[in-house]
Amino acid sequence: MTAPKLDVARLSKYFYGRGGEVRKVLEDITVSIADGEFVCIVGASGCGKTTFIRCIAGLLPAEEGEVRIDGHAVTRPGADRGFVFQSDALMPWRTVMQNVLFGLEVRGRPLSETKPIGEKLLDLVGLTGFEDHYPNELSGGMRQRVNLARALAIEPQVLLMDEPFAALDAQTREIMQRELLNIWAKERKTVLFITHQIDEAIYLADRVLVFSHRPGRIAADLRISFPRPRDLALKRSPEFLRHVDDVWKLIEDEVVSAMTATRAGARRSRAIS
Amino acid sequence: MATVDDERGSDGSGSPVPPVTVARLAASMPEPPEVSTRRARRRAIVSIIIGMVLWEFVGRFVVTSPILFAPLSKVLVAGWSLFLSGDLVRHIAVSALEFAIGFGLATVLGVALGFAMATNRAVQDSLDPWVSFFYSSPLVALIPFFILVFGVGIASKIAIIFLVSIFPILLNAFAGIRATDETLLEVGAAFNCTRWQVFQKILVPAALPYIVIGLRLGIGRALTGVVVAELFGSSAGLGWLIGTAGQSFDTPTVLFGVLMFSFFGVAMVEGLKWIERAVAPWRKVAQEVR
Repeated sequence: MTAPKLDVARLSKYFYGRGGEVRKVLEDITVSIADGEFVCIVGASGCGKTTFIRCIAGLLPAEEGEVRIDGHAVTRPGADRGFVFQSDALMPWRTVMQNVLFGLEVRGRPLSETKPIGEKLLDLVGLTGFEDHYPNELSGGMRQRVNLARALAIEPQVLLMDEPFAALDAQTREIMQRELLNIWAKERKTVLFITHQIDEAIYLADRVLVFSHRPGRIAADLRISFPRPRDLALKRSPEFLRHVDDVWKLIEDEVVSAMTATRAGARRSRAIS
Repeated sequence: MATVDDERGSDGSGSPVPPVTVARLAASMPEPPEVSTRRARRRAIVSIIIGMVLWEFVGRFVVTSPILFAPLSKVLVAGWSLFLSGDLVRHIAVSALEFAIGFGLATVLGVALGFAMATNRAVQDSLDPWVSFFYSSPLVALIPFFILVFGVGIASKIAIIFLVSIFPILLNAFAGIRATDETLLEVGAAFNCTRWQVFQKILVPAALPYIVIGLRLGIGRALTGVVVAELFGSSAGLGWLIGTAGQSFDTPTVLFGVLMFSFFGVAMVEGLKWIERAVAPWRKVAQEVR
């Protein structure tokens, strides 16, 4: 087997509460992800999955363990990782094109020079003709396409996606899932995709990591071997539903307890999700 | 792959509807924005004309004492003769110069200090008590003091205009930086922006709408500063004109002076809106879409 693209070794992360309390959010997470692999992480809200992807992005420091990409340890954000935000996080004062090319611009490459790259990416995400629109002229689905194109523009080795379709309505989300697979088939990036939707994870992934919570740990590492390209109809096949059921059983208790915990202390659980 | 979501067009313009339905729904449907803008403008003009007619009517037939009030026509005649004598232009020039220097300095320093306070904790902690002290004080009360220090010339006016208008500008620039969307700052971090890039490409554009609000408030305060300072002690300017006309019971000239101030206030706020549209086209889009 070839060397892993992304290697996480014994990663632990703590949060420090106001009263001096220390809470372990991630405990001892070790996982290796191969080049070109599409990995989804599912878990109940509050299981630390967003914290995990933020640590890998370098947006949050981890107290213990390390993250390696192509063997190099990373501690801060870099061009080897592209981050797709949950809320689209587009700059309202930038046009679609200017948003897509933001990452290249801050690396000192002027818009005039990078425009062909932007055009190619907009074509890839199906937004040709919207170059000069502002984000608030676009629908939620279109904004997430821009968000994705912006992350791809810096040509990252690993694409980190933090529940990118969570805010979309159900139909748009399905379409976006299929489109994402099409894009991934062309680009063959290594993808780490966070979601709380089990069917989304199984439909997209080669591998699903199921997180348990308090502290976040990998409860299961499942290989999903449906052939590609995958059609949306796959989601209605019995085999698919069996997979969904398996994962659901793994996290059911935690989802329920997370809900109770949320009701008991809404502030606390929101801080980690 | 050319498909895009169909969430757009929710205004109903895209979907064909049978004409009968259109007729039936017409009363409850929102009209296109051009129509409502045109109607709004027409209403505003009618309202202004009614106001002018009322002014003329009240001045002629209701309050007939020439000291207490004057009809619009007499006010305009007084203004015209001031213009012909060349006095009007001279006084406007003096007031405009005071305003330009005082408000210009307030804009530059207000925005700069607001940014400095928002991005540097030490600066914020040191300036905060002074800003709250001055912002909540009736600063026009300092006019006698400024006249003693700077004399009756334009320097004392510039000082007071600067002082009354800088705080809304400063506080709004500060608030604008502070109100920047957290996730946009994370985007900056994720793309490895330098501190300067975050400031220039994220914080400043995010603060722009707030700065415009600060400037709008500043214009109002600065105009008040011009009048009050000139009323108090000066040798020229629109405020001086109002003051001396009042002392000689020349009510038409007093009212004309006030009218001039209102006119310049409205013109400057409109100019500001125009500038905002030019430098921030996305704001216009935001207003049109919503």
